[in-house]
Amino acid sequence: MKKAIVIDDEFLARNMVKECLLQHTEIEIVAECADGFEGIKAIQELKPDLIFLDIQMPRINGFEMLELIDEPPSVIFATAFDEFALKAFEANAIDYLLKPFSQIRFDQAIKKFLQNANIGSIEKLLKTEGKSEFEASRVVVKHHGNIRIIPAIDILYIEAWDDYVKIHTAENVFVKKQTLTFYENALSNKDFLRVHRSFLVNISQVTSIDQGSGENRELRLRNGFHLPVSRSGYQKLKVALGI
Amino acid sequence: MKSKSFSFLLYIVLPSIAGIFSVWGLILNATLVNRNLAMLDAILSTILLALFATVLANVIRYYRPSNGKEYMLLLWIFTLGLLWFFISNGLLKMIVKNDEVYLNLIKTTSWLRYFMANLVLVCISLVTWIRRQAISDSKQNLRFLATQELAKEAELHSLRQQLQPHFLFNSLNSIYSLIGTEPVKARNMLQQLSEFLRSTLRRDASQMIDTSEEILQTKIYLEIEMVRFPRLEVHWEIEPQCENFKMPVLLLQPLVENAIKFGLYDVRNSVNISIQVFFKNDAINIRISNPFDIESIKSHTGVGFGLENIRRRLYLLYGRKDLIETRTNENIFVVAIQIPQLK
Repeated sequence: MKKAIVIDDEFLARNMVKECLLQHTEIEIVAECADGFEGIKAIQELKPDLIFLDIQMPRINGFEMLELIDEPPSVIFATAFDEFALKAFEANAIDYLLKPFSQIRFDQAIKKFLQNANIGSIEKLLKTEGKSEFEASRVVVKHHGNIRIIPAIDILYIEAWDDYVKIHTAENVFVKKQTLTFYENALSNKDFLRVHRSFLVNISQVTSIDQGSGENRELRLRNGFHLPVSRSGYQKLKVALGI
Repeated sequence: MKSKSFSFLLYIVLPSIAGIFSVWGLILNATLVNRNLAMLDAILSTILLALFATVLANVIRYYRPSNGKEYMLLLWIFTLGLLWFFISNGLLKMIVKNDEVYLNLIKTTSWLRYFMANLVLVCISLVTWIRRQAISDSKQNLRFLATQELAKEAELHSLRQQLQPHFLFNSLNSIYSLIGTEPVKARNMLQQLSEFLRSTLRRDASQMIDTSEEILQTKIYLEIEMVRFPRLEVHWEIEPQCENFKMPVLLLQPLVENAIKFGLYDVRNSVNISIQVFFKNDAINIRISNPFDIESIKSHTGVGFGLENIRRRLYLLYGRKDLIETRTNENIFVVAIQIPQLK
């Protein structure tokens, strides 16, 4: 018996998934959630094999929710509009259903899941370097057990830290399991620039570029922080700032 | 710049040509006259004529005779022509003094001078008139095109906005789900959705409609959302007298959609949206309040509540910037607009 959770903010949409699942007695619904917060909790407690996930939901969307789960289960996205299709496949979803979907289409998705059930977590694909085309305007993190939404404009810089990144804001430092390259791509249109192997900086927070010791240059940020700049990072900065 | 230098040339060149002609005429017809005098005569007449031509061209540029009074322009031309004739004649006579031959010449050629002057003035006025017409036509054309383009854009935008694919397909999915479990509710919702889409397609953004109709459309929209989200509650407070007034289409509904977007789609728990419609200060006042999520709002593109469009429309319609007001109170957002009513 496989365990499944339905996460969708509309109860009628959840009902539809449940109704379609009646045909598949090998899968049992163990929870229903109306948003990403409930989803995270239920996934961590119940460890399902499969989730049906809507994308547009209050506060955090389906993708952001996935990012916050350490070992995400298999995912079948079910959403109304296909602007996210590409990203969903990058997230290595089992399938992507467009609402309203037919029983036949739903059965295909379930078949795919049952065949691929051992494909493992989608975690590694969520983190596939350089592949993510999606553009973020914020970063969602877990902080002291709470979920925090950090708007991109509030981020000073992001620092690589082994398998994690440290996200620095004026008030706080948040740690998240993710690669710096992921954010380099996701935030590329939000004025973020990789000025160093280990630093991704919010250009709008830079106040000056100083000549440091020897060859190396340093960035000074609005709050007084200093960041090292690599030679190639300096070239990129010059292009970005038009100097 | 270009048209200015062109006009300048016009005023100088045309009278100059006339002047050269008159010099040659004088020289050929009366070789006996004093050539210096003839030269002076030509220069003086030409300069004077250029001056009058300039006056005339400016008159034409800024004075637009009302329909059926175009003859006023001819009057201007002949009056200026006559004035030129008397002044140049008088001046010439003062200069020439007692050269009998030249005085005689002036007398015999006066009809020719007068004719020449009028010819030049008519030519100038014609050219100026045509140019002015062409310029104002092209300006009007551009303005017309720009307005049309804007109107089209607004219409397209509102259509796309109205058809909000997320709203549409999610509603269809809700109906799809209800068909199996609650067919009566499904029928009801399908009918409301059709009504909503029909009114969306029927609307012309430049129209004024009854406030009651706009309220009705908005209610249909909200009822659909309430089927999708039972956690949504809507409180209406409508002063009955307001329903009879007219208001521009697509003002109330986008405001409510905005309240739904930030107050319902972004907020997790039960949501209360309140809408007040009342009459005050010779205007229909609409006040909408909705809860919002402080953290989510900051990361929305454009930062803010996306009311710029409505602010702009109100300004274009009424020429006032104070017709929309917003404020936040903890996690409640309130927007208030006024729609002035002409007495």
